[in-house]
Amino acid sequence: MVLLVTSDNEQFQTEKDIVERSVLIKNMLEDVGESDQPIPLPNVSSSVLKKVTQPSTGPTEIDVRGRYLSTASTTVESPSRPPILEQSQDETRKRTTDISEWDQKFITVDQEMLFEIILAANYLDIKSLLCRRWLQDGSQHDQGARPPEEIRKLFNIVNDFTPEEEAQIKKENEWAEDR
Amino acid sequence: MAATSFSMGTVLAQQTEKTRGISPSQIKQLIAESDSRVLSLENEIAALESRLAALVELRDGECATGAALRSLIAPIHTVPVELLAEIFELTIYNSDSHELPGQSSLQLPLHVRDAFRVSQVCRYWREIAIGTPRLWTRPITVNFHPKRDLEEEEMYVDGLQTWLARSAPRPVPITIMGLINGSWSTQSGSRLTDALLSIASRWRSLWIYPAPGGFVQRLAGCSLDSLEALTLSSVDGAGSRFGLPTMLSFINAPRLRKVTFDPTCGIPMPWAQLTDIDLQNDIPPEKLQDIFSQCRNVARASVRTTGWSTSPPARTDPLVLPHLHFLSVTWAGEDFNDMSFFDCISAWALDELHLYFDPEGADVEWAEATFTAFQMRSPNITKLKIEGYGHTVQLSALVAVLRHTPLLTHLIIDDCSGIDALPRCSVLH
Repeated sequence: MVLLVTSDNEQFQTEKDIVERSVLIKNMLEDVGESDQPIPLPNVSSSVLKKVTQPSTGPTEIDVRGRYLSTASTTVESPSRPPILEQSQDETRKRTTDISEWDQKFITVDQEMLFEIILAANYLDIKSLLCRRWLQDGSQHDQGARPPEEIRKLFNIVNDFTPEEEAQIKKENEWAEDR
Repeated sequence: MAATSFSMGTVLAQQTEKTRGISPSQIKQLIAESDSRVLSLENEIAALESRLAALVELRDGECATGAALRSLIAPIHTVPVELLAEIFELTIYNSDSHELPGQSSLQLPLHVRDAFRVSQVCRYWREIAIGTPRLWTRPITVNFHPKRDLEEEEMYVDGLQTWLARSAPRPVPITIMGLINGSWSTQSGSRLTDALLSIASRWRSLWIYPAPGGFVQRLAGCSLDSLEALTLSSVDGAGSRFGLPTMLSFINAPRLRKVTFDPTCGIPMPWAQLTDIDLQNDIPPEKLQDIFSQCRNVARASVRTTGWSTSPPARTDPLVLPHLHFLSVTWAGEDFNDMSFFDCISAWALDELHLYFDPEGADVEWAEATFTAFQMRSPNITKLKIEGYGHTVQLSALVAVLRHTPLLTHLIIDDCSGIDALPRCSVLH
């Protein structure tokens, strides 16, 4: 077991094979060798670390792409596995069946937590946790990026292009989209 | 405009009743009064429209203020630039990089659309997307389609130039597509050629299906410093579709490792540095021998061989190909064929061997002694595939093959006659 200490000073006893999915922690463990010393994670809060490392207990959990899944309406093959253990894309494809439901929740449910998890995944260097689909068209798998206006709406981004830039974008679209 | 809530017929009936028995001058007076009321109502509407426009403007302004405020505290702004760029990259549709041009060749792949989409969300994202060349380096098919009109051609080249410029300085995979059996439009394509050749030193891979002669001529003078993989699919025996094939040479492509082409077209290749060759025409064993003698570093080879064009030469020591781990041999051609090609090579590291017997070609006599000797020189084969297309392989020959493949883990035998006990055999582990 490895002892992790979060930014809000909470301690977590976690299995070594789970935490070693984080390249950062793995390297730290290799550097310090066998030791009971706690590993400080100053950029990760306890609520985020729980999401990342703990098995699901409630009706809602987050999967590897940062999607909030309602276990009541979604096929989740291994609900007790912590998301940090999930690796394969094929596996994650199997896990989510109701994308539009996720989309709905994604828009209305706690984006703040989602982005904290993404940042933590980046800090901890856990590639499998970096969500890949949150800019993608949620209606079907592997349909590529959402249109810009949808992305803006989803993430509260303002269209701040100048008229000249808008004209350039229109030209780009004639080439890339309208053919 | 809202539909009127009255019918002209009803109004006419009402006014007919109302004016019954009165003089035309009195009717004119009524008309004047009506016109006056219309004018008054129009003024009122204009005032209301003006007020409405002001309210709409105020509302839009407040919406913009709200959106700007929401944007300021949007969690997405906590994502650092490098992470955002990585997410962009993961978002872009993963087109099959080896997809052959064909049915949808006139359409750009989805990853092109996606790269533009993420660059069109806001100025900040655009800056990041345009400043991340790897988003713009996925495979692109350039279509020299002669049916585009001039305006469409300009637009096509502008778009392509934008795409290619954003990928700089990274190498890019390029596929050049044209009409296989059509004639090239002479005036079309010169800007396209310029745009492509201006970044020839950044081509990571080049597939030609085929290209106009003018393009190929100018290609001959280009430096191809980044070129790693080359496919010249439609070079026929005479090289006619390439115009002047003898002008072309890839000798000076220092990174070129993988080549798919027809060696009979005579285009010089840097054989010594190649590691992956796919030779696409029927080639006599002596020519193959010559090629293999020049590419001792080859790791993967796919060849089609015919019978000897002259009498088989006296046996010499086989060529040692120390890195060859994958070999696919297809027997083709109508001349007498045998397996003596295997006498020519020795591949200690060979792991996977595929044998194909082209149904259009002459029958091939299975030479057990030759093949066994080859196997003795290649004792590390773990995967063997024999695609017979009805070719006869005696069961005893197959037993000999298996006996001399001690490390075999994967065996596929398909459509070979003569081994009725194993009409279709697929063994995994």
